[in-house]
Amino acid sequence: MSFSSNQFMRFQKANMLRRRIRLKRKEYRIGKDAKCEYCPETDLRALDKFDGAVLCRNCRLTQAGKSVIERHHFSGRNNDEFLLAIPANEHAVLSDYQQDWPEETMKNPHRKILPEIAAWLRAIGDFEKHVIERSGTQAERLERLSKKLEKRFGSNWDKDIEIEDNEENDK
Amino acid sequence: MKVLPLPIAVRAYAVPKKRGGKQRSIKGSRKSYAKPDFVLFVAVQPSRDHSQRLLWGAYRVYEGESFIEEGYFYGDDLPKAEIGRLRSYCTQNTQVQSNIPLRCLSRRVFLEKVFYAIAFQVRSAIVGFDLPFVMSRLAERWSKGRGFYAGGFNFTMLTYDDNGVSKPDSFTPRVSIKSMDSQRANIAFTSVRETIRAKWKDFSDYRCQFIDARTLALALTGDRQDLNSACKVFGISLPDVSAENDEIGELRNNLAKINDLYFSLIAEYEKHPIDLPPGRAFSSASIGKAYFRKMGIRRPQMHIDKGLKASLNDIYGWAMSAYFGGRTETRITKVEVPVVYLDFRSMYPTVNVLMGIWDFLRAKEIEVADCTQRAKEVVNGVTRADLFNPLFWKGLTVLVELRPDSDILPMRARFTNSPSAPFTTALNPLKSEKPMWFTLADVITSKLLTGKTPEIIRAIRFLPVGIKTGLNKVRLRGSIDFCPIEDDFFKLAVEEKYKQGEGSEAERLKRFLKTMVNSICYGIFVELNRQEESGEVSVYGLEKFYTDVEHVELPGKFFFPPLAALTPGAARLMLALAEVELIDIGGTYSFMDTDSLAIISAPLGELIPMPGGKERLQDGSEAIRAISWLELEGIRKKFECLNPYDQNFISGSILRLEDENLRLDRNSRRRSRAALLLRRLLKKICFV
Repeated sequence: MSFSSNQFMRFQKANMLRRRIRLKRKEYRIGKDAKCEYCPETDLRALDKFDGAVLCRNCRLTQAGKSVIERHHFSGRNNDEFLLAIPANEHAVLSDYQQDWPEETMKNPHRKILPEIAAWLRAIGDFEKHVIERSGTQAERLERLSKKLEKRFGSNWDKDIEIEDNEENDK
Repeated sequence: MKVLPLPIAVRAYAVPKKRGGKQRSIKGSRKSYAKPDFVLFVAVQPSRDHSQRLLWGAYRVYEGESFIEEGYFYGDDLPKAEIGRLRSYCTQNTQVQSNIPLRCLSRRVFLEKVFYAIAFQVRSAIVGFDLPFVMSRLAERWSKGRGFYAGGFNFTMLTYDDNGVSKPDSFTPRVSIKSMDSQRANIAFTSVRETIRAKWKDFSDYRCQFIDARTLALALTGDRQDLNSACKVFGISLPDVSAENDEIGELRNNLAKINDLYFSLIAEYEKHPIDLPPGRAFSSASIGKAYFRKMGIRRPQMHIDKGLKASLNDIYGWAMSAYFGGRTETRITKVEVPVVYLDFRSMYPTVNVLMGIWDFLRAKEIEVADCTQRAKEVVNGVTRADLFNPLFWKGLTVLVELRPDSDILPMRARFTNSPSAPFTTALNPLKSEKPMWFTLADVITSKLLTGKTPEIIRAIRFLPVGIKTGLNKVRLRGSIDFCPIEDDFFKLAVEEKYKQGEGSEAERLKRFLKTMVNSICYGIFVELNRQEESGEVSVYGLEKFYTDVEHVELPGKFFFPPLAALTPGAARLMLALAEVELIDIGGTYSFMDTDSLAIISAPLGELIPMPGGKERLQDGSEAIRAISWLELEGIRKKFECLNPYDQNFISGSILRLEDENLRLDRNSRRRSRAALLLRRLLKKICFV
């Protein structure tokens, strides 16, 4: 049976209220339209207030001299020990998604097999969704950068700079 | 003339003796208005039996104006078959109508996961139509209200089982409700534990608002509304119910109406630059008072001349005893007579403009001094011509103490033999050994009607001095600039009403101006709020004494009875002026009510058979005279000079023809006949 678009939307929106409340509370705490002080990160889920400054988790860890790579329980701590090494910002976002999962799937105290599989499916769904969201954000960033470069160096800026396909190899 | 002894009632000013602690206020209320981030709409379907228990309810959640989710919840004792029906409706309608699931929850889950989550974790508003009823259906238990809510109810929404004993869940605060009347109620959460308060730390300036769309519609339109009529007023097209015409679908349709109505109401409300939260807008007067606060208008300060040997409370007491409502009177009942129904244009604002009441409100202080000699001279020498001089009305801001001796004055009494009959106000020949207080306008009314000068003992006049500092300009409903120093609020509001053109937006503005200006003309100056506590009070009025009362009353923020007494007094004088003009040409009236009177009049004038009438028909039977329309126009014309408004917008007489006299096209007159069916019910008038 295929997963229809309606069903997919329901799957996404089932816990919309809980998520919106959570994000709103974060917004109260760190302010509307908040942005990391050191990088362009604007995702509320990855941001927090540290000593009065708004920082993303990556920058916070960098500032503290720690690695930004963290280990993420892909299908939830209670379902599987499978860990994914990802940057701290992505870890924050994927963990936030997990809070929208049904309690019986997320907690699964007796390690039942069906909730465990459900958790995997949800994790894959969340991951894909996040990749799509991030792709959009990165694309927007590139578009903004392109406009800025055109403004600064003229519309033919990319033609003036010769980039060899195998520049690295030549060296 | 035989004088019948009749007990009369006189108002007084009762000051509660010192009370322990500070005055109680509504918990969680805030003066300023902040827009909620989340709005939860709730509607319920009660059972049809006398218990009206909850069958099911529907809810919708919006973040700002974006729809988040909706669903149903069911009562604790709803049969399984009915729950199944509800669930299947939710499943079907989710698939058909939208991608967003229509959730089906138990009452408890709804309260825990939706109601309390929204109420305590984000800046939110809970909206319903007849919200006290909705809350009472959601509750598990009730108890008597306490503190500010004494006389009301506390509703426990959730309980938990403690070894077989059901106990209130102390982590979910109760909802307190105290009704003011059938349309308005104070609603708030009771005090909360620290654990819940901690959740508020991110938005400590805000508490969940309960907004009853019915009350807000009343405040904005001035009329009582049911859901359909309110939707009609705000131009909301009602959803088609035929497709899902069952109880479950109907509730969802009603919720959709409440939802649309709320957004229209809020859009209208936000046009007013006031700080009052919409949940605290109980009437047009609430909005009017909020405007006053915005302008910097406060309760006037009085400077009492030492020669008066009176305290502030004495002055308030005298003014309260001189305060009466509008004059309502019938002459001819149960007989159909030809009438022309006339109405004074915006009576209360008009007399306020003529007397310069706005000068008192913006004054730095109000000087109170004796003016007995001057009052005697005025009453003695007043003529009808003086009353048609607008400047004369400026001098009517006077209270007079006199000993009534068959003078026609307002009085409050039981005019039937029934001991349970309410006290009603009427103008009657009054004789009293004890001196009583009236407004100068009432004393002149008596002079006009009897021709006799009442015996004045003492008079005090009120005079505005200077202009308050800190007055601010405001934009009425975001579109009309008003400067409290340069403009007269009452005059501007009436003129603006007539400046507006056609169209729904203009109609709403007109309606708002009318209801607001009428509500703040005098009502707010005599606002007394009944408290649910007994106590000893000092009574000021005709006498000073102490007594115990079952319910003490606390004055409102703008309580200033001298102004409250003056306005209706001047309105009674205006009516009396029209009456004596009518009597002068041998006419009479069928009835009068506050600002209107139905004059017996026929196009060419005629005699109408009427037992007790002064006129005689050819056969010698008694009759009254219906004056001609031309004679009537003569009376109306005399009132042109009392028009205080800008002639470019409001021209002609302030005594105008009511719509009942006009044909449907409003361009030509029609012959109206009126029959007053019941003396005490002026509403039972049939115009044919």
